[in-house]
Amino acid sequence: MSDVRFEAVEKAYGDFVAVRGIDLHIRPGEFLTLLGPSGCGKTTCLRLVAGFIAPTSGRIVMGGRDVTALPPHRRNTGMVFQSYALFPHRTVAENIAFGLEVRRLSRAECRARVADAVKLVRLERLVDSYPAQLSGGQRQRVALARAIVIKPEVLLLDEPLAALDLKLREELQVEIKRIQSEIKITTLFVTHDQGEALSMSDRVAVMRDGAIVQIGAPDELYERPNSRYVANFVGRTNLIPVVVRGRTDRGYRVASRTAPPMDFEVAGPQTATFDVGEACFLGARPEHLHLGTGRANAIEAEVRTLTYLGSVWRVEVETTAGEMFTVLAHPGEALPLSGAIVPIGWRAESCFLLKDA
Amino acid sequence: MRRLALPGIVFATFIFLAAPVLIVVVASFNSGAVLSFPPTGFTTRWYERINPLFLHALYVSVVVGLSTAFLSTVSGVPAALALARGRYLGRDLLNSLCLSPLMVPALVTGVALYQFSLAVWDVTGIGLGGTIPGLVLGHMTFGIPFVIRAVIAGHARFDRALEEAARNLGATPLETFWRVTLPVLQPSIVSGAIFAFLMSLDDVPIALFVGGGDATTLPVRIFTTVEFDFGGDIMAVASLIVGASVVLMLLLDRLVGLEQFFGSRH
Repeated sequence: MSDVRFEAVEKAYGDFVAVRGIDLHIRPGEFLTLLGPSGCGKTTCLRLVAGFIAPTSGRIVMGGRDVTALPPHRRNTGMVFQSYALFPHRTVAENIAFGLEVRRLSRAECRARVADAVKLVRLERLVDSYPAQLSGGQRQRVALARAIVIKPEVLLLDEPLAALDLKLREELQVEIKRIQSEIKITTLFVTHDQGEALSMSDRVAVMRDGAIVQIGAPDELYERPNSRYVANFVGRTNLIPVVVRGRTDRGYRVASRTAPPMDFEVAGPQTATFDVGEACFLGARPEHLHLGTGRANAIEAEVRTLTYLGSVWRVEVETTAGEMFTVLAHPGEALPLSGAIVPIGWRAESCFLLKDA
Repeated sequence: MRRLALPGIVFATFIFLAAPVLIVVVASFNSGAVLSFPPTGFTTRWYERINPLFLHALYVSVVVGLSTAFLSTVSGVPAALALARGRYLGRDLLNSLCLSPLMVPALVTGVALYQFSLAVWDVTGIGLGGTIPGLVLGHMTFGIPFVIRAVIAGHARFDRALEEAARNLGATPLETFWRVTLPVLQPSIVSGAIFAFLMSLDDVPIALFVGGGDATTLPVRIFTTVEFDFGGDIMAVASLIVGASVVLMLLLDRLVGLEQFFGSRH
């Protein structure tokens, strides 16, 4: 198990800066995800680790060794490509054996390690097939086996599930996670899918415009995002513009920036400190809002649409200030009619404050 | 009726295309006067009477064809990769330049090569005219563009991530080229080489100007024979060529698939 360290890594293409001064430590055995929209620099980061591109400045250190100047074939990383990049002229077994062959391993050792890898990804029956004969999910498994059979210091996954349909994607998420924890390999995962990031990672780094805006465990990120960007990229968030009125022993007292102002309470640790009088945003997740009263915070809103999602109802409401909110209502709860004015409440602990930026 | 119309048209087209070839084959077994129709009797005597000069010409054609295909491939593949991958000034110009021999009438190329061989003779004393190396050089003028075109077309479907995957798995750039790039491009390379071979085999204008003497190719030999000594053995030779082509096509279909070969499948 090795760690990977980005030290002030910057990558520019002419005037365009793809990665701006990233410092990041991926711990040994950790599953770290770079999450962001396309063009945020996450894939560039992955390719910097693989060595396909060189940073404009900064260092990349792998297992204590500075690899910044090493070509890809001397780095010992295992990469799974979005397009799978399986060799079409080689069978499954030959694809997996490629990295062992170029390492000049004996034939017996090659065969044994390929057999282990094939077993790990459960492809025993397809070893003699060609990539063209496999389904998307099977190709993905071959690509994974090919990357881990060489015992890389770090596993690099470039949106490996993006091309698969939903059910298969969920299945492979579990599968990749199982394999990753079974062989305890340091893993850098790149995705634009927040669900994937939350369900698979030990830590998630949210990226925007070539920089990391927040890094933390999935639940930290979800429950205490540090910006409106993260709050909206990771899950959905209802936002109310507020101003800080005062501190309480458990958090803050704020008031909406509307006329007349409404008072709210926010409790629990925040990602930043806020001054009295500061304009900021109050955020609350749809599943933390409830129809009805009896909680620390309450507003009134008019029901616009009701959507049945199977496990829950999604209720879109418009507040008196004209903001659209999303509330999740569980089956069995009394559902309002469209057009009804309903009270909406939430607990002080299940909302958070965001800087006005 | 409409269900039969399309197959009918296809069949008629096929007959139209194949009829002359069939007539040649039939004529080669005709015991009556040359080119009399309908045939009057069966004979194999035209086949027995084939002039040994044709065999020598066939030998020349095959040697020239294989050499052209080999040398065009060896020089065309790197050129194609440089044209398909390079990012440099004047690449488009270079690309057009490399393919331009295909746009010049072969007769013009023939005349130019003839003058070129004279110039080479004047300056160096090396005679290219009437030699197999001279012919091969001449045929490479279109052999190389054929290979380049085939490889560039195949390269358009080449996923560069394959090479990155190889590098990532520990292969050096050279290993990547031999173990991944070449094998993946192999069908395009083979089809380019076969095209170069077939075009060399088919060529008359260039072989007419540059060849001659010991370096007379089969088409040129047939051409001059038709002009001066038209007989049944020509039909026999032509029929043998038709037979060989059919066998080659069947083989090709088996090995690479004709759709792939002519680039209609993607």
